[in-house]
Amino acid sequence: MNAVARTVAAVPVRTSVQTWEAIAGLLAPAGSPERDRLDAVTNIAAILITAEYTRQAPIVIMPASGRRVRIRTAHGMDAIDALDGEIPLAASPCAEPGWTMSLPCGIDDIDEIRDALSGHPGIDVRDLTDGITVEETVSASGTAAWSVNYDEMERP
Amino acid sequence: MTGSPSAGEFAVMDAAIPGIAGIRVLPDADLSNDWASIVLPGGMKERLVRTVVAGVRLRSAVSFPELPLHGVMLLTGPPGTGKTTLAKGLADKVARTVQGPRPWRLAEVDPHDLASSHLGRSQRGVSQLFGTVLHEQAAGGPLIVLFDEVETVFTDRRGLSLEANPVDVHRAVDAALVGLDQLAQRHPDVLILATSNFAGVIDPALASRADWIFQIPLPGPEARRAILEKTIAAVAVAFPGARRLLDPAVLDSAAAAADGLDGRRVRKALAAACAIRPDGQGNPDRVSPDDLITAMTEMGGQQ
Repeated sequence: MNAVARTVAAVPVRTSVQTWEAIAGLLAPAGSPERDRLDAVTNIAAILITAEYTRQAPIVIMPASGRRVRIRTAHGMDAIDALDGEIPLAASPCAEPGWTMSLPCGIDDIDEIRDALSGHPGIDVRDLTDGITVEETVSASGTAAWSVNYDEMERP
Repeated sequence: MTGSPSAGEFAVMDAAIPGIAGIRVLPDADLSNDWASIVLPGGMKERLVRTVVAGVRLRSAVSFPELPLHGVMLLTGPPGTGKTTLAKGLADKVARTVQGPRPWRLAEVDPHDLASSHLGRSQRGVSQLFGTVLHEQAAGGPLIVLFDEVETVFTDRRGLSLEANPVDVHRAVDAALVGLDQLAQRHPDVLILATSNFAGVIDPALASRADWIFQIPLPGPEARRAILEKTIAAVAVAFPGARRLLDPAVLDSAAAAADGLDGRRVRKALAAACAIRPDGQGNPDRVSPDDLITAMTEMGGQQ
């Protein structure tokens, strides 16, 4: 499991701006410099959410370390269902510098959005029909080399 | 998260993890005290530790298809026998005994957060827990999951009527079993310590997945005496007059009078003894041996 997926309730449960704020809240602690970077693209992201591009393809976050995160938005009746199913992430993937983000966008809007994001390094836009190439890492789960403390084991 | 969100409610990260009451890094000094406080028949605690250690070693070295160990230990027995305290203490003991590159963590499941009267929500809650939350937590390092009152989710489906019980309950059990299988196969460094007061109503499919089932008995005479001694010694730190109750003959008599009581009742008896006589004035310093024995009898002990 090298990716973590989440669905965030969007319109009509939240406005598109509130939806991005919810997403940013998942990714970085409030008040941190990295959160400021996310807040700075609120208006651009809200356009993509309003157009439901984030419903059709995920926002993909590559943290500086750890598993990548894919976030989709749910709209309409699906948003109402999704609200109860929202789960916080075990760690904030954008808490440390070095992360990158790919936002999905329709081909008609992609040039305009790309221009708008030009001043926001690390945040890019892609055609929502394109995939993303990632480097898979081998999960460490279950491969631990255990050492047993026999003195502790026998201690009552 | 429920209700209509406001702009200020976007901090999904700050919300509680559904189905999880809490997560802590092990070892933990408080849990170590839990382990020390539990009195079981001779050798049982040590065997529990050896059993878990063996399971951890086997599951990390032998593939699931060849040795289908699920890492599930089921502790059953009457209420008040210390199953939950034992499970927490065991988690800490395992973390102190078996060490790897990353620390163990203990996740406590809140089973009542999973059940819902709304159709479909129980199933979704269980699926989220086993399909998402525990997988993600397990990816962060070795994990021990404490599943208290496990019968709340793994209810015996044979005893459920589709007319009286919504199909949601059946689906929730199905989802839990599927999730348990996936968790066991993908994460051999996840242990599940499950407890139940009602072993008879647990779905047999869970029982068959449990690698070890331990029946925690009511305390015997020696265990009751040891429990009493620990409790009185703890009280005597603050109320020195209670030291007289540590006399070996008093402990023997009180432990005999407590026959049939669970460990929790035995511990509570000292508090009840403070109120037996009017001149005891509710003062632990003034409790007499006879007060203690009377309290044991009134609480249901059979001498």
